[in-house]
Amino acid sequence: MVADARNLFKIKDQGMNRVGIGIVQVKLVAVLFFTLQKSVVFADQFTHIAPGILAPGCIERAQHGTTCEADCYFVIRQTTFRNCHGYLPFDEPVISVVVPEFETAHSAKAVTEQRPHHQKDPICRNFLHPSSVAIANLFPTPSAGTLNTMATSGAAEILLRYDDDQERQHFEILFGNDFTVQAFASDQAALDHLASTSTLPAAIVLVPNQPDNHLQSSLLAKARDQHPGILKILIGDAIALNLLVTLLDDQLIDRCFEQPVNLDVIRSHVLAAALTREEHSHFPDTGQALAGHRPAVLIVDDEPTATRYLSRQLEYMQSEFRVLSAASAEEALLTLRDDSNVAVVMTDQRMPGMHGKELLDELRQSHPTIVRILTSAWGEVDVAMDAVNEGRIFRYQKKPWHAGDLLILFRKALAHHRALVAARDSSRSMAEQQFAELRQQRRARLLDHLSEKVDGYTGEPITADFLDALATIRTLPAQPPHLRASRETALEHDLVRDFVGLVCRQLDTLEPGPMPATLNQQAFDQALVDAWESPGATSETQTPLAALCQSLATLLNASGLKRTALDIAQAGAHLTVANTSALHIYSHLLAPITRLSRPLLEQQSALLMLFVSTRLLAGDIDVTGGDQSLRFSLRLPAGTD
Amino acid sequence: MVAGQRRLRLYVTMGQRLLRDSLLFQILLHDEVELVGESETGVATLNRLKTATPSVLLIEENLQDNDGLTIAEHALAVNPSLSVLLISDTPVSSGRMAIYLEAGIKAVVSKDQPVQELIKTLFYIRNGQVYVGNWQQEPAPAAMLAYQALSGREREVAQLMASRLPVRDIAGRLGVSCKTVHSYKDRIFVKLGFERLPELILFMQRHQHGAAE
Repeated sequence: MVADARNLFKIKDQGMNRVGIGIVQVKLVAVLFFTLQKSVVFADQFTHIAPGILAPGCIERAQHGTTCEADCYFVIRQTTFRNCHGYLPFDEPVISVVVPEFETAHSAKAVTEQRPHHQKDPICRNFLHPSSVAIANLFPTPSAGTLNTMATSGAAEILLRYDDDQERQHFEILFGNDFTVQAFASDQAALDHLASTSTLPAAIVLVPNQPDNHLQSSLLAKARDQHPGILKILIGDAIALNLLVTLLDDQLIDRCFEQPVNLDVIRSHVLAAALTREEHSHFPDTGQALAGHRPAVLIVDDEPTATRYLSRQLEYMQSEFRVLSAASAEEALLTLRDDSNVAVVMTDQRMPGMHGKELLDELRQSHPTIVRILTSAWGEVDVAMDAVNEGRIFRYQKKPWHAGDLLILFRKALAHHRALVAARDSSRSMAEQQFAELRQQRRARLLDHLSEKVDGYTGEPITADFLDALATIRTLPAQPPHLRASRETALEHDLVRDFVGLVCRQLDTLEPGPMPATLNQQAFDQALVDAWESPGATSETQTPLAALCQSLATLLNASGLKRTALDIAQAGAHLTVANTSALHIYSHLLAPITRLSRPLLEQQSALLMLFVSTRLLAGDIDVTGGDQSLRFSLRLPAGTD
Repeated sequence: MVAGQRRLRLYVTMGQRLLRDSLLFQILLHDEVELVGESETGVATLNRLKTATPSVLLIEENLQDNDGLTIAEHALAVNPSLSVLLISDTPVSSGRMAIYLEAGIKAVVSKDQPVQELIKTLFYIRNGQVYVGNWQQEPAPAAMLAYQALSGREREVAQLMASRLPVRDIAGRLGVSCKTVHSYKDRIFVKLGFERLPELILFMQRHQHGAAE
């Protein structure tokens, strides 16, 4: 009998090369990865436990019905399976392993947490399967030094704070390929590193022996106060709910995971944080309510009596905020639609219909400035962890509620809400302001590169007219990614170069030749049909009429419109062409752009060519921009014949 | 995953029918996925999104009529809870990945990656989580390693299965019961990380002249 899974390590050296493992719960598998680091085989159900065998370096999950020969079997068991030996269909020595944490903290959870469909669940499968787990990296145990040099120079950095050297090794084996890992055994050493380094880590990961010892972590507190952009992750064997609640109250951690961790998930959290990290500026809370009505706190719980009583109490105690209640997540969403002043949502987890966690996931995306609080009477640490990691909740409030505690909590949450709104507004107005400058520069460069060539054709300031027309089309407001694309990529340069190049090529095919003797509706219709049937035929020279029709075809196509969307009419000596349904212009040359694309360039040059060819035909063009849309009307001189 | 999770309501915007069909054949094998709409162009997508109410939008970056990213940004402006998975023609740089994530895209999968990666990503982002795969590193040839770890008999069964022989015939040929062949089959699938016969057939045919021989 081995008391701790880690002691399996010792057995490994006793000449047993082929090891079978029966396992009840998926969670324990990683403990074994770490521990045995050689051929590991496990079956997932105790009742028909029958491990298979695999070559060294591979991991297998055997299914029932498998026969095999192993030198030795490990059986990971739960207390409820104390007499499991009767189930084991083999005669080889059996070593039972009871993992202490499993027995105490998780014994109740293990039952509720069964994942009957994990074979079909791609995420779970990914964790289990050789195809996705980086097995090759799991088994060799290179020293920390080689791992650090293996990491690519551009890899994001993780600052690892560990207590146990073995934990460090495991972590480096798992993450060394993806990240540069700087490991420290004490807070002070880690802080010294933080103070001296020029590049901040993307994340601080804590893998403590006793998470409780880190409630006063100076490392985490310092990171919280001085480097809010660094993601703080706790990874523990077993996370107690109280610990999580306390750490969250003090904002000491941003994410929290139990061993064994899912590589993909953690890598994704860290990479996302590393990629999108920006200067987190602080917005001191002025304590001033935002303009408008009193903010509201929405309490969502399927026990209306409790919420009614609580809201009365809270209303009585203060006048800073209103208290609303909803009996279900669905009702909460309706309330949010009608009341734009909801600043905080506190929701119960267990409700009929949509669960609290799902509501919070939804709110995180649809109302990012609403502060989210999860509350529950059931100490489900898994739900709480998911809510932290995925729902990014502000706090986890245990039930029963006490109005006094909640008043303090809501005041903090409202302050947080004000900070979020201030940050959002400032980032919005900053983006708008900074993009306005970029737009001016872009306009000037386009004008500079195009006007000579384009205006030379007609002797009129067509380029400026075209750019003015674009400016009337409203697109989505500028956001930080647009600024980033303009500043950190070659977008601005390429935009001008590619657009000017495309326009010049099209102008070169344009045949200024003799004007058509008489333009009439029939000739126009025919030209339009020709253009429609041979899209993009710009290799030969084109008459202005053909170019005009070609432009119309491109513009209509880009908006998903048919030829019939054009209203063509002849009245006396004029032919008018207008679009009955507006063109969709989702982006244009003067709009915030994240990416340069061929359709955008083609659509924009078609619009410019529409201006040019209309003037060449001695006509007038009139355009009206709308919300991501454009209406135009051409007036061309025509003969009656 | 949590029980009672909402179904994955999928909308697919891909220009080419052939590619769209091939992807959907794979994706729709997962019973939580429900196809609520599909289109070839960005304009059609934005027109239909409101009525289709998808939870996940799978959209190609390069569409015929518009830029897929621009369309995605507009879709998100209308419905911020939508999870967008962008399919790029080539792997994106980390600089571009940052821009995409900031723009609210939940994940990017390039056309160079295997379909399993796309499906895995789809499930990760279904609840609005960002997923950044190991997009710049070559994936380890895991299935190959796993194949080499199959026993001789398992390889034999795998080869027979890949030649589309029915279980009964395989049993007859090897002189074992159908039940035994089924348990070999289960074990091969688990070991190789496959779920369905077509995956095995593809793998075996692709590596016919390599280790699978």
